[in-house]
Amino acid sequence: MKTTPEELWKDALHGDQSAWQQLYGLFGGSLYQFFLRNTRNVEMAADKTQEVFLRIFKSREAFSGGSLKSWIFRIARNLLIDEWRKSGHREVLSENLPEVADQSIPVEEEVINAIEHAQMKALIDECLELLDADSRMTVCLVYLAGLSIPELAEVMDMPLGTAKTRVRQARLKLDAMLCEKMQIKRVEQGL
Amino acid sequence: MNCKELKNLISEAEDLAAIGQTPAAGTHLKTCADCRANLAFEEKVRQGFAAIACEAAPPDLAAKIMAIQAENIAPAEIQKGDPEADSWLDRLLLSLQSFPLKVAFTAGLIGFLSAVLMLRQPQTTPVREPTSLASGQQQETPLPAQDEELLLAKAKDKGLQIQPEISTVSGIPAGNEDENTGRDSMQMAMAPRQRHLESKSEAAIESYNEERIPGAITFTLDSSADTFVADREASAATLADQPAASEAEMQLAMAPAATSRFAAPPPDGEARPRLAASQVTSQGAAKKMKTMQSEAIDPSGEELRELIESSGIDLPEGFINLDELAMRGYLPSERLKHLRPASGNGWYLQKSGNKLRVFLKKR
Repeated sequence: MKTTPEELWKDALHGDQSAWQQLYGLFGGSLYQFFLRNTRNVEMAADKTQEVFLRIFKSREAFSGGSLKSWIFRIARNLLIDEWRKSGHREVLSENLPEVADQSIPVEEEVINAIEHAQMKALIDECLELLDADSRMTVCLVYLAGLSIPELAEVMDMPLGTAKTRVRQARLKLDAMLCEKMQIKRVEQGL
Repeated sequence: MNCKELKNLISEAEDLAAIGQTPAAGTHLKTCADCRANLAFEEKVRQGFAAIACEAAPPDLAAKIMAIQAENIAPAEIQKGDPEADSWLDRLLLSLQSFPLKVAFTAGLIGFLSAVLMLRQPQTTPVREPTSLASGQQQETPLPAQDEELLLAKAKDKGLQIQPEISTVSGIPAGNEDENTGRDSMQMAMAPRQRHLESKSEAAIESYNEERIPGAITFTLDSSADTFVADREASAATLADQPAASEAEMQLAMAPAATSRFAAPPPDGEARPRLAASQVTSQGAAKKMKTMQSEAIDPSGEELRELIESSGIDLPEGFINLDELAMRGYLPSERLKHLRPASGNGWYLQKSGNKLRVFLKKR
């Protein structure tokens, strides 16, 4: 049984439908969610996901080994940046990010445990919308797409240290927002 | 292990469950409430992200992506054997695989077809023709001077007192009685000045028709009072001519209630209240608008309102973001497609007390 995405990829290129289906199962959902959270447009997210699969198939010669996941998400990231540029988004992903201080208000363990699964999901969704585009993309690549820090560095074409800093800063921003929202929830629910 | 080290470990760890199992971290976690809270928070965040990642993509997306492989492998294989397979048609079809292009292509095609259909429709609005053409008269050309003199001489022989100006001005052959006896006699009876004016007005109509924009709607208001009198007289004459009709039958036929056409005409000199065509149209449009406003409850708007009410979402007053609703799982993607308004419009949520109203509004 094929286990790695790279092996599935080889089989898919030889016409194996089930391998292609498995590849969609592995990356289709996370790609769609990546585009959806970054564009907030259901139809565009579906179109872009389709386009990623079309591109990887068309430019199959360009894949020269390594991590298939990194390659796929690199294409996805480039498509997203192209879309942002088309829609007049500012120049994305500046090299030097300003240092972010930890502004999160500490939340008690019982408050965290009292928050339900669905509530947390909704809170994350709200906070992602409020995050700046760079941080949102970084967070989505790591926590939605499940990329490791080295894979993220490869996708974003940057040194490992810079990738780490980006993730840390993005998380600090997200955590501060989440903690604030959780405190509000706590007051509302009288916890 | 101190708090900072554990924090770094938590943020970089791929498996959070493994952190508690390491002896150093386990010991610290037992004694530090903040780090326990931190670990619990991280677990919740990752679970939340995992739940978002597991949200289903649209069902048709899988089918589209599965088709990519089938469509792209076949041309690739054909290309190896037959270099002519990469024709312009293949390339066009390949470029049309992208969904937005398909939509744009279809929209363009529909637009073109509807334009062709609109242009092919016959003009249904009545166009007023010049009287000379409408009555089937032929355009008359002035006769040469010699013929005129001959005709005048003939007329003199018949004892008709015709002034030469008549034929000169109107250009009508005075002696052409065999062909158009009735018409000619009428034209002869006309004063030269009258004829001159008539020909002027005909020319004006002709020039108007020439200047008219093709396809423009022309409204013609007839004098209904005159029509009425003429109609009434005509019907009375028709009824009187029928010998079998009795006096009672005739009275019944002439009764004002029998038909509204025989209503009493307005007295002479009194201005009959008449509406201009534009007034009639605007009044009709206003009535229609009122009816539409009172009757039109958009079923899609109602559907959306019911969905909002049943989901218990507290949306602020204003435009509804359908994508947002879909993303949060309140609106399935099939319904989203069905409810998405045309570009430039949006669903507007209005709150009056506890009552919600959803309607289309221009953005």
